[in-house]
Amino acid sequence: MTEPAVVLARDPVRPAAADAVARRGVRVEVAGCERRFGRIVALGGVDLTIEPGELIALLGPSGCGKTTLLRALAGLEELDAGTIRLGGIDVTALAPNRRQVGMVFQAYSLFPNLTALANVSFGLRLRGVASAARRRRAGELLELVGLGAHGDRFPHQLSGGQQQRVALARAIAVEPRVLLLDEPLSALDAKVRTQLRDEIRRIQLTLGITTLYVTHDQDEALSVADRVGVMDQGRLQQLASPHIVYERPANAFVAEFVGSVSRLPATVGPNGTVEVLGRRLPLPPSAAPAAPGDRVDALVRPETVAVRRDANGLGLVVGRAFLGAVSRLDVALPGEVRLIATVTSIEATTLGPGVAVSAEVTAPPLFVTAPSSARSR
Amino acid sequence: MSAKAGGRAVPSPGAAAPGRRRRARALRTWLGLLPFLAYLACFFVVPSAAVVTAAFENGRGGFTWSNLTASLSGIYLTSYGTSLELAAISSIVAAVAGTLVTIAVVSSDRPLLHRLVTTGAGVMANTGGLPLAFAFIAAIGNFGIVTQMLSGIGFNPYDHGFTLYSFTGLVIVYLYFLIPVMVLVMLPAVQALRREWFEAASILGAGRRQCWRLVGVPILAPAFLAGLMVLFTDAFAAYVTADVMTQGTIPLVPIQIGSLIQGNVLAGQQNLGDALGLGMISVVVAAGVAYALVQRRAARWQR
Repeated sequence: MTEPAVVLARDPVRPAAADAVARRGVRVEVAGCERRFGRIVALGGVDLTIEPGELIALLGPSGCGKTTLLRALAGLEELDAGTIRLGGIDVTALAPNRRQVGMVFQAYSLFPNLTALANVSFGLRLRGVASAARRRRAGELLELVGLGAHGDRFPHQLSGGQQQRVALARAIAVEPRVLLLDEPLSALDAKVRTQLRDEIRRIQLTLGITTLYVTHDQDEALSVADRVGVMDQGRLQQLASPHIVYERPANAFVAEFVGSVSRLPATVGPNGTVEVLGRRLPLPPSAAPAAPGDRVDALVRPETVAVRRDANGLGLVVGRAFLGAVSRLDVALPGEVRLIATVTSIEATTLGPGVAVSAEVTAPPLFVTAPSSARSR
Repeated sequence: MSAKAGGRAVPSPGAAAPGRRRRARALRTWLGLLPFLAYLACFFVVPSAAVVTAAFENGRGGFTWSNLTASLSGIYLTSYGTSLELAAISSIVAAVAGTLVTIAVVSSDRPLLHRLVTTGAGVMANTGGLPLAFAFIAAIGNFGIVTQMLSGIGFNPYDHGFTLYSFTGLVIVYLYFLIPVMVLVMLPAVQALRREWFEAASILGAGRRQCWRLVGVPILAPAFLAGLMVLFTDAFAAYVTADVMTQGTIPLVPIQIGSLIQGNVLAGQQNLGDALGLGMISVVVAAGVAYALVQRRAARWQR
């Protein structure tokens, strides 16, 4: 009987061998990956490198190829072209059961006929770990995910959040070289999602497993990832740290997909400036080439817009959403332009629907792009 | 609900209402079930009780063990053996084949094929008795169309030891309606298998066979055993097809009962037929108990 080299200790917060485990993260290299389904290009030549122990979140709309890429890493999807290397080893042609990866699916992936403990020890059983050892290790992992007392429960006796915790424990039980998370929180309610999101990050940092986390939830991606990759139409549009992706998007798609933006009509001015809502601001560094006088759309974040009650203002508040400390205002401007602004909820009390306002952009736009009919989102 | 008045709990006017409503609802449920229960009583409970009672009666209405003793000896014991063997072989073969067909259809992911198989299985599962026997005799009987065609190309199966009017022939005919029954039983269970289970098992290190052995088979087992029991009892109790095909040359319990009740062989032996009927009921009950035991274990993880 062979047993994995790393034995997890009983401390659920930080196993004694965690430091050793933390060094086990491997580099993931994806090069030129292509995958087509008929005429649909799921992956159109994706290059991606994940450093050892790093957590990268892949973000993108439905059908952008993020899940296809994750499944290709797991070996569940064959590639038409490209290579995948895990820890320097080419695994492109390897079957899933030989890749040594762990995966947590969206939902309902626990074996329904096995208890939580048996689910977690499933992979260890396949590796020939002795019964007592695998029970002990599965118990430790259930402790790690906060379900030490639920080992004898069947999946249908667990809540959605608990099931995903068990799925996480099962995935890391086999000490994978890479952990793949396929929208693991999408089926859970908001509160559980936040809790489990933080748990996943804590465990990932504790164990130091190189992790690819696929999600369509930007809050999730921005809050857990070391770097965020934004995908669209089978291509990686940008891969950078969360704040770079948010503050310096590589293109208009990224700017509009991550966070909220308003598209405001603007005119390129002299000396690297752009005029938006009557104010001259620096052209954003990532802007496409534009000559003075060009009419463009400026993409502006809600938090960089100041809105004031003004009887002579050209804007009209048409919607107000209370978000707690802040509120979101939807302001209609002339020319069917819609502006989204964030104000404190105290300010918002005097800025209800129907109130005339004036608006001003207080920081350089994120991006300028060719004028479009879709002004804001 | 109750209200306190002067220190004493006094039922409020609406206090009894929920209880009454519950009782009324329960009554309506039972009233709805009444026709079915009446049907069950008339055509299952009463006849079964009559068979059990008659099995222990002699010709004059007195108690006797002789019917039971006779039903478990000689040709009747042989008939039980043959019937059990026939039911076991045909049900196991049909259960395995039906399950494999179902898995193939579901995994093919072709809606048209799915609809065709479901409809075809529904029709075939309900085909039996005389028409089925005739169809097989017309196809692969001594002078059947398929037999003639095979003879035309130089292979007459009857020259190689095959005969439709044999134990093997009966198994083949039974498979015609047993396999579709199994397909219908297994279809929901196979459709409920989630791709994620197999993918998760695979990623955790299981090969293709291990995925099935450790995940697919245990999850399908309750439905498979339920189907197997249905097929077994179907095959064990089938009468007309076997009677027409074999003309009594193969000793089977239903045929023996038929002969005794009709008085074809010995007049006045109806009580012996009832004793054989009691034996059949016992076999079916035993199969049901075995299934219930397995099901109870599976119920731990089923919702």
